[in-house]
Amino acid sequence: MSNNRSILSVLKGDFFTKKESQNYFPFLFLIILLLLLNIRISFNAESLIRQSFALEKEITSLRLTYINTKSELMKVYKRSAVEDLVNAQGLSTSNNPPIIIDYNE
Amino acid sequence: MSSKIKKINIRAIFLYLIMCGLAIIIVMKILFIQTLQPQISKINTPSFIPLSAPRGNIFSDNGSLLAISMPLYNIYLDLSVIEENIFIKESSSLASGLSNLFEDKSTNEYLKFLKSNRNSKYLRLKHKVTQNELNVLKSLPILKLGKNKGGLIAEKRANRENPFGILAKRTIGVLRNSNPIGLERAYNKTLSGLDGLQLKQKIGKNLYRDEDSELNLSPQAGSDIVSTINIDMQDMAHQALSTALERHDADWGTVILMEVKTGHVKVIANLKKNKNGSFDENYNHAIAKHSEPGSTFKLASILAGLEDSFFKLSDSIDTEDGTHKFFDKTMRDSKKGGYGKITLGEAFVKSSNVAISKVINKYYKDKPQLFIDRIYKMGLCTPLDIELPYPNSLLVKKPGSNEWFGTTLPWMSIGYSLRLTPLHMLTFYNAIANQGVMVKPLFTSSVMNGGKIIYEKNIEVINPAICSKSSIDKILPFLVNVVEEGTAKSIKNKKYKIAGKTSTTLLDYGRVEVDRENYQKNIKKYQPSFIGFFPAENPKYSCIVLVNNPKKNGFYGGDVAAPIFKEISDKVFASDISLHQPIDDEVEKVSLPFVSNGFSYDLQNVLEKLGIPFKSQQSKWSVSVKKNDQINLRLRNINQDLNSNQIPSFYGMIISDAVFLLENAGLQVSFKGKGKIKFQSLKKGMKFDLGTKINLIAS
Repeated sequence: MSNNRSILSVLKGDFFTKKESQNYFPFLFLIILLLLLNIRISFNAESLIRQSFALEKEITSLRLTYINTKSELMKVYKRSAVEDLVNAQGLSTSNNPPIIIDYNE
Repeated sequence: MSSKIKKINIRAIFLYLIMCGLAIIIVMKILFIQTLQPQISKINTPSFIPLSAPRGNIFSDNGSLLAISMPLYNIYLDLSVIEENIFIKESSSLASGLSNLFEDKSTNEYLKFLKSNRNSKYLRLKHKVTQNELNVLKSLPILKLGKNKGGLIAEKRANRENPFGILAKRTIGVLRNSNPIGLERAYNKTLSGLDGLQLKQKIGKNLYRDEDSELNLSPQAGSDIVSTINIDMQDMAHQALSTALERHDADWGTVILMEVKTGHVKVIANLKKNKNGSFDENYNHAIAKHSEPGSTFKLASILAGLEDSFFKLSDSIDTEDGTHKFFDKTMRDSKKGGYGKITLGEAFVKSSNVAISKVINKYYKDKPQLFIDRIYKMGLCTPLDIELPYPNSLLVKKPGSNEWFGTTLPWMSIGYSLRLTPLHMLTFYNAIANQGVMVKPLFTSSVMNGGKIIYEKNIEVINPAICSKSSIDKILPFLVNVVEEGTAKSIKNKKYKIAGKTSTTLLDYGRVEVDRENYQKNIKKYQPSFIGFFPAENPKYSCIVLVNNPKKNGFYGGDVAAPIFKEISDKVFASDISLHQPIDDEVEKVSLPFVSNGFSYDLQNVLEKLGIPFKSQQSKWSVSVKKNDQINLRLRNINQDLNSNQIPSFYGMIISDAVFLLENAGLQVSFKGKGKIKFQSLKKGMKFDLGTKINLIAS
């Protein structure tokens, strides 16, 4: 009988109305506050990870764009490619050695 | 009232129990999944994820990128996710953008392609798309809406890019599962780096959070390899070879250019004709093709005899009628009728098969092992332990073996009956250019990590003296003569001297000899080559050019291979600034000081003391003129003029000399300044009397 009564009192939530329990309320509020804070921090951390992931993706993309552009530059930079470009203007690679002027101040 | 409260309580308790029951079910399910369904429970368990290390790059000698990891993308479209009104409105703009980007279809063709596949969920658009192309794709109408609304699917695929295309492709290499090749294979471990491990917690789709763990391992990026290849020279050689192969309709050709002192391979070009007639680098003939070198081997034969002091290059040899029989086989010269009696040096320059084979056979017939030992000492029979993997099929027949016949030695002396690679032959010629020091051909110079050199390769000497310096000094003038007046005189030039040797190897020689009469001319196959170094006086580069089976416009080494050599050497000579002296130095060597006009005795005295070359005519007074690196002191008829009362020209003369002469002649002189005379008041040729006044102004 007493067991039934105690279960009923738990179900009814009678312990909240007891004066002794009310002394623990600030502590309970603190616990709840800490839990909320923890949840907030976790979400914040996840948000930072998402940002970091997006930035890493952007860096990778930019790095690959750089590599791709550099690779294309190399193709144009090739001597024969430059010769092809300037041939139309009547220019070609000279077979004459350069004249070196050494200037000493 | 109390029954009502009781009813409510029972309902609340009932609801409460249901909630508790649900909670128990959830907890039970959690326990069930955690213990009995690990495939689900472990999804969110932190796990170690491998982190792949970025592969290092391969650079040319001046830092140009030869190989770099650059992923490509396979592009697919999910057209089913695009809203109908957007598709109708913007599909033509998208088609236009795709047409402009890929330039493989017209706008209408793309539009038709998109419309006919309107409901496709995985439509292949293009494979092997670059990052830059992907960036453009992402900015096109519809596709810029992203994957979920625009339907753009980009699947990344690993790719190793060679920005210079087929230039030195076989040497840079390819890393693949079967038969990897080149530097990519040789330095795979260095380039790969070390993969890492990271404990990660999954927190969303494709989203992980790094977790701390003692087992975490950061990936170590692969190191970069700096090759010795000079991409400018490679490009020049590639173009020259490609043009020549087309001109001569040849099957394949190879060029190697090496730095004499260091053994750095600056150029390694291999071109082979494809079925469609174009040329591609698909086999590294330079290091892997073993064939009979032909006449270029005569250098080794001559050096062997010189080393053993069997003959001198001035010895006379009879080339008979251009043929000579060794047992049942006839040795022939390319010139019908032969060269008559010539010196051995001339025989080398003219590349006489008869002369060289006769002399070698004469001295080594009874001791062929001595000849082979000499060849071994010259490093021609030992595999080159180079960085690149290559098959070793060197063939040098051994005296006493089943394959050694009476004809083997004479034919070996002219470069047949043995098989060597082009690189092997070049290494040998390079040693001659390097005063007998044989250095190993190197394809890489250093290893870098994070932009810093962590390992630098040193020159590797294979043999410090393949023969004596005196033998090299004896043969060098004849190597130069091959170009000046011999088989390669077509490439003689005034700018710099080339030393080298031509070869016109008849492929399948044995078969031709056996059935010479019936052997059709048109099926003869030749392999012309030229090996040399330049500038001959102080060689910096050695180079081999070898062309296989030219069918048009000549087949001799001097006509096919040597011009390619010259085209390359001309451009290298013109572009390598270290081969030229500053003009100031040259001027200093030949420049002469200014010498004024004046008293001949004094001028001669000064010029003699200063060691300045001069030439003088017999006269008391002289005019000095610079001519051909010396001072010419020319006759000046001042005394004769003054004696006949005529004013001479004093321009350029030192004023004290002029005043002395004029006053002695009885003139009244007034003058201004000092130094050389720049004005005289009475002109040359005017008559004067005693006491006539003359004004002189000096600078």
